[in-house]
Amino acid sequence: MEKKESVFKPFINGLISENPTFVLMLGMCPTLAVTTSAINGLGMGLTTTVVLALSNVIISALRKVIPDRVRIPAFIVIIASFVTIVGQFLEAYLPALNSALGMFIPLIVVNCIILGRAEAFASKNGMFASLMDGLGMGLGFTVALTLIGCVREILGSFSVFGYSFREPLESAGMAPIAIFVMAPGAFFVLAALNALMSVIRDKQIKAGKQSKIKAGCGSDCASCGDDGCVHQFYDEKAGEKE
Amino acid sequence: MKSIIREALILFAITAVAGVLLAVVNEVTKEPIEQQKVLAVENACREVFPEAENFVPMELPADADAALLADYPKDSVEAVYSAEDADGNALGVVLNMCSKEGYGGTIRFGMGISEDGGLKGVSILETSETPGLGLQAADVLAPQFKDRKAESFVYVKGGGASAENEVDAISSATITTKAFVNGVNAGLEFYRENYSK
Repeated sequence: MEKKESVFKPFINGLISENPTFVLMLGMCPTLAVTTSAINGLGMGLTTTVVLALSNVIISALRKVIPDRVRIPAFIVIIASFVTIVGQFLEAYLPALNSALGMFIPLIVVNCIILGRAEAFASKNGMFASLMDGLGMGLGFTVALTLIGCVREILGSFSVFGYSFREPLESAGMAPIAIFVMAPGAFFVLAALNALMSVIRDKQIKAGKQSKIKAGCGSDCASCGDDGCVHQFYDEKAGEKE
Repeated sequence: MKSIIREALILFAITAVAGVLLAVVNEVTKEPIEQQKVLAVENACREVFPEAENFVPMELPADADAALLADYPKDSVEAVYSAEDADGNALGVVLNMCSKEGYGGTIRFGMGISEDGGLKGVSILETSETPGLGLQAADVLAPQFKDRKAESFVYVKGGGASAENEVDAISSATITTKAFVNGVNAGLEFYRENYSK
């Protein structure tokens, strides 16, 4: 095994191997709530990515300064500050996106992906790796939300990214399946896409290949025996494990 | 004991830096946010009253809501703007209405009314109706009110609205339709009671 891993490993890790939505199952509330359309999913995902990358970097930079016992309030203060900053800039310069996402922007503070990555990754790894992890996890979240949003928008309102193909389909006697843009539709689509990820993973494993998609672990490294886990590899205390 | 003080000081330092940073950001974004708000109001007004050049906020009559309560208990007027042309001549008013009987809660919309009591246009400002159903109000319902004149409107289910005061309902979203049409009627009544000459 090479001694030095690719700097992009945490990035790929967040995007595919441990996709926060499809594998880690983190941040489910915004996932289910804002994905009524593709553009909402994309906007929410990108906003979260910015906050996640910035807070990961700062938390990583301060990881040796922040005492263990007060780390959670310290993380929350940092995260909440970035959310407020991003929220204010959105309000000032992108009012359309701001009004589309509404209440969910301030609620990014309590998005468990962000605190989860601060706790599981940024507080144990260097700044660059944490930046990559934040970007990867954020974009993984963005891709997942956009996908769910696309499926829901296509099935539920016959349009995608606001481009409507309602009229030709309606004149052909088809009606959009309205339940997909309502709350239950979010669960259906999430479950279906999740199952798809699992099928791909199982097929890869059956074919003898090592799948890039991991089983969900909830980032609970303390009680985890997975020696091949990327978290452990990047864990400074674990050193050159693997 | 010593560690508690140290931890508290570190936490204090972090919050202090965060506080200063937020104050700076607040200062930087204050003006653009104000401008965006003004711009948003102006754009919303222009959409329902394209002919007017300026929109001057007016004071609401003291008993504005009380007058409406009798006939339209679920509707209220939130703001009134006088629509004026470039020379400052009043062309009519723009009302910001709020209906509380939507399917997903409140619906806020603006409506432009010209001097003769006719509708100039209606446009939705804020809604949390169901996407694909009630949320279509902006595309299906609002355009139907453009340049219409009637004492009050009624909605027709299943299409085929023909009379002067009829509009087509959104199919499968009668509650939204009712809330919206009632809100428009409330606005028209409000106009007649307070501004009609």
